[in-house]
Amino acid sequence: MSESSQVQTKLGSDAGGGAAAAPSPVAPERRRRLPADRQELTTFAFRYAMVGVAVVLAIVAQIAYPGFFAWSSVQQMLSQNAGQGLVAMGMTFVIIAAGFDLSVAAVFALGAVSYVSLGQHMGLAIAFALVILMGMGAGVVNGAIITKVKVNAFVATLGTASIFGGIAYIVSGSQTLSSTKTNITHLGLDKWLGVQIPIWFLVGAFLVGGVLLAYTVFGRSVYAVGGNRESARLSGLRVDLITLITYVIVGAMAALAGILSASTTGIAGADEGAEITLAAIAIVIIGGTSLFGGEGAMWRTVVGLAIFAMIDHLFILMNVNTPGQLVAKGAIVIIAVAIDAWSRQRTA
Amino acid sequence: MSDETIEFRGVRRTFGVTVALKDIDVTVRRGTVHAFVGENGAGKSTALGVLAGRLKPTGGTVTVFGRELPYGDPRACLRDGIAAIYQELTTIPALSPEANVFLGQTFSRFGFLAESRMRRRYVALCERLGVEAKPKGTIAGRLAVADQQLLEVLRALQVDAKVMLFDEPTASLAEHERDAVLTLMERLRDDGITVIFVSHHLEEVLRVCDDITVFRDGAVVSSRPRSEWTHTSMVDAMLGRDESGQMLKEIESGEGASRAPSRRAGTPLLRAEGVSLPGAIEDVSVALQGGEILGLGGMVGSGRTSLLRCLAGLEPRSRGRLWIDGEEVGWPRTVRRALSYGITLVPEDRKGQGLGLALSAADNVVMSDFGAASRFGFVRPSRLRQIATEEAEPFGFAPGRIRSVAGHLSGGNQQKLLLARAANRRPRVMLVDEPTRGIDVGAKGEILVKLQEMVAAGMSIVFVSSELEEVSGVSDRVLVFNAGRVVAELEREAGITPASILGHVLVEETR
Repeated sequence: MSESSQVQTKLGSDAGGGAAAAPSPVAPERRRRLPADRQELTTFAFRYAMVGVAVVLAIVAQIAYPGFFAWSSVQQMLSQNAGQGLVAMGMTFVIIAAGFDLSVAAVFALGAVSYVSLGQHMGLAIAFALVILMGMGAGVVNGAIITKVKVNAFVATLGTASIFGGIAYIVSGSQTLSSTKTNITHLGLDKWLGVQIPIWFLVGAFLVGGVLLAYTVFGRSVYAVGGNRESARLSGLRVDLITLITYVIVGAMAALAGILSASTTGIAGADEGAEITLAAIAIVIIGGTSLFGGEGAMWRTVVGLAIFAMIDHLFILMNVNTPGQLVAKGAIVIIAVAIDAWSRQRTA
Repeated sequence: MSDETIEFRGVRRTFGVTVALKDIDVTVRRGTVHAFVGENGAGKSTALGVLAGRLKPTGGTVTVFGRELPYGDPRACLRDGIAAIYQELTTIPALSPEANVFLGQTFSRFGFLAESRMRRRYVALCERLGVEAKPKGTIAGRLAVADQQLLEVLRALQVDAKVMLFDEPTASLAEHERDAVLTLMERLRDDGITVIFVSHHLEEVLRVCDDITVFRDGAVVSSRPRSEWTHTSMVDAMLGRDESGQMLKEIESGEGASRAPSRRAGTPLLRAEGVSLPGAIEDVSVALQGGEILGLGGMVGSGRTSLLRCLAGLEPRSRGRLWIDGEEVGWPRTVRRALSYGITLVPEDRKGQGLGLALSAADNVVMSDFGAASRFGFVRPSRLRQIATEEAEPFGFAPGRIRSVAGHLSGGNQQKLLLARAANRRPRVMLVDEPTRGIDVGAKGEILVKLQEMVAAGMSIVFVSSELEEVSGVSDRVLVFNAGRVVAELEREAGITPASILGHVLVEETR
């Protein structure tokens, strides 16, 4: 109840501002279109709903498991979810541009096996660069099929998921590859300033991605393309190029996640990381970025990642087995999308 | 309380802190056509929404022929005989006309559709209204918009509606289709049905309505029989004496467009020849001088919009030759190419092609040129809002609303954003498609005045509108389209009137 009254106050001040700008009836066009208030009210309530969920979850977790937010525990949560988080960061761009990428798990697996495989023949730094380029190439393929051939994003990436996945099996010879280089786990397990390197990648990626999305011309253009493609085209934006770049970003992130995975264990298999696609999309959606495009923000994905990581960790602490986790996570995703669709109906 | 009237008594409706209806009293007599008029946001649609059960009143009572309304329950309202027909069609394109009429209440026998019985009932309903039944085998999607609306009316008749509410039924229709809808309303009245009609078209209102209620600021200004109203008195009542209404009147009478013809000499700014788009336009040629407004007249679907889309680079299949300042340039097959020639389109479909509804008003304006609001690739939000305000304010957009989400703005404000976006590119040629559709008188005036100012400053405009008064009022020249071809060219010097445009449209049609 207190939240709704807060909402009222917020709306009140908003409407007050409008009225102050034009108190006289001589200016007819300055009147507000009335149903907007209700829309804004609902939108506002949903806008911060997920922050509330995250806070409640954190409090519950802390009460149930007093060591939940100990530094070592937090580090564990972050490093375990670094891969998913990175892909979710890239996926945020794709989804805000009203796209979708189902091929990220395949790119992840291809990245992991390629890194181990290439690493046998060359320096790991060069292998790293090549694998990232390969991830970007996968993004170019996705983007080109979607924008130039005009295949629906869902179908296109479902197809390329199979193709990239197949290539991963070819690269690995359908076997789990094991690196003979001992320094391969430096990237995955070493610490810098007391923090594991994958976490630095995660934080860095979110900072760069967040700035790119919120404060640059490219970021604005992503919103414009996702909000109304036709309108963006009429405005002279390079709609196809902008769309393609979003797939390149998520491709690079998926490949990076694959590299970090291989670097943690020193081994890689083409069958790894199948759950990444669902997890990444779930993190974006749980944060409250709309599947319909044009809306959302990077901080939302951070909130989504926090919720996802906390749930994940709670499952481990509660000894929920893997099948149970899969069922629960699937349900969470559907609920999050249902809330999105429902709030959209209410505000339509 | 009477059996013969619909009565609003002290009806109030608030949204949060905003009062949409301020204790209104309205009486609608049974068996009449009654108009609710007013600007966007004046409360007329809210009043209609209350009657349709879509909105629950915050206070007051509504009685319909002696019975109190089941507030806030659209299905119960429909059961009580109140049917609302909205601007957005609810017909299902792939189904036959009769299937659409019996949607949700299909006739069947032992679980099988009783097609022939539905067909007979459909024909009977059409006869009752004196309209032509569509032949078997057609589908609703192929029918004209007016005919699809007719299906919705028939659907309402089928459930024995006694009151029909029309919310701007003619806004998306061409001139001759409008007549059909207006005639339909008269027939409904003759059939004993009470019609309540919300419209921005004052001529229509004066033509068909028995009583007229004018809303302003959520209150009823005046509710009187048609005989006591004139066009002018309605506008005055709606606006409470506003100068933009005065401007609109001047524009529509042609007084506002008394520009010197001298600038019309010399090389055309834009010349296009042999423009063709399979299935839409055929061998159209057009020349546009600097500082000229060229109006395109004709029916919806006659090729006006297609020509604009071809010139704007939106139709890759189109063919033609294009000269800019007398020099031939490549035919624009992409929007970016057209923009590089200084040609920009303001599309007719505000929601579909025009605005990112989830984006802010400011983003929508500056979308055409984010670069100008940025430094080193970083957008500066304050600069962005400043540019947006500078562009939108001259069209009469309230600067206080520049942060609002575009989807929450009124139609008039949305249109102003679109125009501001186009203007922000500093185009040489602006192609403007139906800029005044479905928006109120005040906003119309502001938009038309601003367009004229832009032309006076040297830009050229190609202007499409289904409002013949506007076309004749603002245009220096008018090309009349019919069935994808230009059939006439009218010059201001020789006089352009709605009748002269319509004359060519109709003559060609009967040919």
